[in-house]
Amino acid sequence: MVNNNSPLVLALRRFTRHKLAMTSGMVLLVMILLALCAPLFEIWLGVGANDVNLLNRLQGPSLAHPLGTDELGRDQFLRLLYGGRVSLFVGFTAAVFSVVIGTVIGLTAGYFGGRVDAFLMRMTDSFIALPGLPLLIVIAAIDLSKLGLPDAWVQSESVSLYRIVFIVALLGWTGEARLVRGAALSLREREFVMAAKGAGASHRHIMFHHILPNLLSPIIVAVTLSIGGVILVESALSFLGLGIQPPVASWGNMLTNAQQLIWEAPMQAVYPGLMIFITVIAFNFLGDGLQDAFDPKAEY
Amino acid sequence: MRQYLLARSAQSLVVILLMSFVIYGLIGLMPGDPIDILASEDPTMTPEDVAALRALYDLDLPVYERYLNWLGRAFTGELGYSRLFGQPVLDVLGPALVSTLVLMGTAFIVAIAIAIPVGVLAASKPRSALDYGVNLFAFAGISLPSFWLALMLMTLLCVTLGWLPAGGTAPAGSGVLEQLRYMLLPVATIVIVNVGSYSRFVRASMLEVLRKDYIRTARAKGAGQWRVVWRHGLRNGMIPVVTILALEFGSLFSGALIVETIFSWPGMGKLIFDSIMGNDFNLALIALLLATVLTLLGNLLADICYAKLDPRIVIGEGR
Repeated sequence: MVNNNSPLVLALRRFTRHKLAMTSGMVLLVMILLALCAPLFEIWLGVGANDVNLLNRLQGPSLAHPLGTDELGRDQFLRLLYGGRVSLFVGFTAAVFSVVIGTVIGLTAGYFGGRVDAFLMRMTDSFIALPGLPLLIVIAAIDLSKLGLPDAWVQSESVSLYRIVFIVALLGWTGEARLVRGAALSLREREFVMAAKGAGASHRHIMFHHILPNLLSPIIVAVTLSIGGVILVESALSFLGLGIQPPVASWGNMLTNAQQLIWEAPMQAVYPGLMIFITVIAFNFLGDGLQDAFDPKAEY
Repeated sequence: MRQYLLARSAQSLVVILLMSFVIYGLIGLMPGDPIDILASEDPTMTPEDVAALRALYDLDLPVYERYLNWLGRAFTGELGYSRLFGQPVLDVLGPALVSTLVLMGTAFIVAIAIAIPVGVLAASKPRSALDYGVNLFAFAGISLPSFWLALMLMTLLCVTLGWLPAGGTAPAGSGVLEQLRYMLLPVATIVIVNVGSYSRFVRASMLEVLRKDYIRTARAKGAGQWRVVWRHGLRNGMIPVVTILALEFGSLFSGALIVETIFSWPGMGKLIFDSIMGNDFNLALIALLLATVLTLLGNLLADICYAKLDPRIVIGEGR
């Protein structure tokens, strides 16, 4: 071992000491594996996640249905797994998209400074000052065919998935933009940037080859932390009937009918919400652990 | 300061104008339009009637022209009628604003009343059990889906134990106690979700203050722990807290949309949701705009509070 004190090794060592974050990482790994293996469980249990069986409504847990069935007789366990696929997919993609938008805006503002910075940051401030959830609901409710998009595409099953990723990313980039801008603002005064400038590098080269790599750790933390937020927004919209559309299962839309069924089957509502809670808190702990690992000076 | 305020107000005004256009455009893209709804409710209408109505309500014009017409009418105070309630929009908004303010205000005061002492105690004993507890609770709070928490509280307290009503407001003329029973669950949901992060915020702010020189001076002069923390520390520790409070000001009016919808609390959040889902274009437009205006106002207020409370901060220079 020649170089066992490199920043990455140090960060990794600090991270593995962070028990809560390690546990969260494991939990998420298991969850991702389970979600990926959902079709296998379908074969094993001999039913599909969307198979309706009205003679089997609201059953309790049994060998055939480990977590019972819902109001249409569909297997709760399988729907939870498929819901996990949707939530995790939306979480990852929307978080990555919003961080990409935030990074481009923040990097441009921080690197160029001056008027560009003033304009972009005023714009960011204005976005932050918007009432988020009501706006998300309006955007989620619009009729895509009125925008001139082809009907076949608008009516396809996966459209609600892409739509939600798009909507969340559209309003979710502001925090990252501020973060990246602040870091870029201080990095651009550093010697290595001066050196690159002196060597005749273009703005784009400096921004993406010299400044961006130095921002990697805060960006990774930002993505991790925002996944949790995205999953919460997605599930809330799906719960209200505006996100992922049935019959596709999502943890949010599995709870849509729970309020009507609250007297009949109060346990129905427990599992999907618990899954949301565990996943979101695990991403938050993970992000917190990563932050401590990358930047040990912060907090405490 | 004055110049800064003017600039900020101008900026907010631009944002409000832009947002009014964006919201107007978005509402126009909602499924169905008012004339279609009318036509579907009245079988005697002919296609010619529909076309005539469209022309009458400017619906055959491009969106920016319709927007300008609407803006002109809005400035003269003509905001139209709500389709769902059959009343002028403003008459619907008034009561909703009041009931949201009651709900959110109560939740807010309760959360702050818990968060300040807890946060200060956690900061004065870093790494204690309480400190870790606050941290954990804050993480749980930001990770809890509020609609699920609401459902769980409802299941436990209304269905299983039967202690509380499962939503709505108290019947008119009932006593204060009865009204409180209806408020308890929505307030509890909002408090549980927020109190952890508020406490964590108070804690972080206090921790910073308690490291300052004047705190060491106070200790050196022999002031006790209690006096140092609660008299010397708290005053400066509260400045960022007040800022956060002002930032929350906007949400005080736009309401907790999800919580209000679940508990059928007739506030702004539920109104916004219902008007969007019920194709009530006039109402949705004004309610959303009002929410935007109030949120922006809250942000402005936060900046002013920040400067007024801390004379060391000079805003409007060097920006």
